[in-house]
Amino acid sequence: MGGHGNNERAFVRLTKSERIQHVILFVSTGLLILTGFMLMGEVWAIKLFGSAGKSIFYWRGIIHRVAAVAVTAVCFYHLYYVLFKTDGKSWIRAMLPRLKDGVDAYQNVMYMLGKRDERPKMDRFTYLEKLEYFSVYFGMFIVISTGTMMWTQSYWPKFYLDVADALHLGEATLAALAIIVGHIFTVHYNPHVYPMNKAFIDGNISETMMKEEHSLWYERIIAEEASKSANTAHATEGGHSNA
Amino acid sequence: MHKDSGASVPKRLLVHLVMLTIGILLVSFSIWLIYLTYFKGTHRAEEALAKKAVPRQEMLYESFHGIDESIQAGSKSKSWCLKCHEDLSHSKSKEVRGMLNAHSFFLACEVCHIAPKAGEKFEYKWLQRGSNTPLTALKGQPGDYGGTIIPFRIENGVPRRLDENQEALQFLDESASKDSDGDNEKRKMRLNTDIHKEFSPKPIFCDECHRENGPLNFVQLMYSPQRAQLLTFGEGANVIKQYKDFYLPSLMRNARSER
Repeated sequence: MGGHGNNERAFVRLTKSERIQHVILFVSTGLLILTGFMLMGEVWAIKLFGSAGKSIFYWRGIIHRVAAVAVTAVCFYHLYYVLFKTDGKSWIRAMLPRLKDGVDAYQNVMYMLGKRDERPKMDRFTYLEKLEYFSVYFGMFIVISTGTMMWTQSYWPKFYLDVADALHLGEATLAALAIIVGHIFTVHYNPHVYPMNKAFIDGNISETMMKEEHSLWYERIIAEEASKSANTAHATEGGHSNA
Repeated sequence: MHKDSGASVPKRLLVHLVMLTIGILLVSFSIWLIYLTYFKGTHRAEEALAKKAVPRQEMLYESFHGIDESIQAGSKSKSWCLKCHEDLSHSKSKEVRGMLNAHSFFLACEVCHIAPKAGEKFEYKWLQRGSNTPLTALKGQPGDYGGTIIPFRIENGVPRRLDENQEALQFLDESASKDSDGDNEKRKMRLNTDIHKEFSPKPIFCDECHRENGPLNFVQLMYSPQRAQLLTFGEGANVIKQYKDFYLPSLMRNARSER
């Protein structure tokens, strides 16, 4: 994990499957944002394309649809992953909102205002990460359903298409801003990991980061390991005495 | 704290520079998105108006009706009427001539310019441009299917085209290489009367076709059910019903008079 010594112990933050899902999600979302907002481009900027404009906009439409299919596929796979795979079930259990998230949010704000000495101890996923994760569910439901309507526009009355168009653009704007401000800046420009949080590449998180940002999770893992080694030692001792 | 704290100064500077550039680009994009959402259109009425007319910048390249391609296709294969009346035959009314001329690339003139008599029966068919071969399917963009809708009047059970006048066509070919003289002018006037006796300069109105149970059966004319529905009840058909006198373009008239 960025920001800390290389000899430090690393914990698994993202499995291989989760990293692949994330790569597909961010590449396709990036393409969707780029090719989608080209439609809202300023006229002077569009005219810079000159005679190549027609081809560029033709490919814009193709790329937008291909990326949309990829993002839809990864969303459905993720649903399958969290419902049926062991790692996925563990992920969604840890991700479910709890009362403690509200307490964490309050205590964290107090900490940032200087009214509290320590940050609250947070689990595998912080309240902000949970909020962001479920926002993606909400956003994907909106953009996939409205995008499908616009792709099959000949089957829909104009009123519904106008509503779908407004929702698609609105949610895309919200999602783009959430990704840029809420994700890229807080995850990668975060002073703890700047210039990059490499968890999305190697899947690891350092011990220091675990202590700083997910101390409750860290303490639980350490306690589980201690209990496991104590049991092993106990079993070994028992084995010896039996022998 | 930073992983690159042990890296060389140039490498650290390069990383900062790259991250700063990415950051500036992302912040600029975010500001543009906020401008698009909250400011554009509210403070600039002219742009908002333009945005309504061209809701997507893609329209710079892709016309909704594929008009550009229709114009090219139309000018390549003139109908018999257009031998005299030119490709863009509707020119009087500035407000609607564009729409009428756009229709004339896939509708024979006599679809609208006939004076139907009581009891007459008509049949409408798509024929390939420049030939009498019927289209078997509609391929291409709306307004540019490579064919023209031709009306046939059923006479004694036999369909007959109304614009066929071989003598007139022959005359046009001959007169192209001949100087005009008295006989020629008399023949021209007679043929002119013959050709136009079936036609009415005052056309039928748009909603006589863009309606349910109108003379044009859009499904029989091979339009998809969705497209047929759109042509019967859709936006265009509703505009026609709502703005019979085409008050919609008064928006443009006001803009012109303000200038």
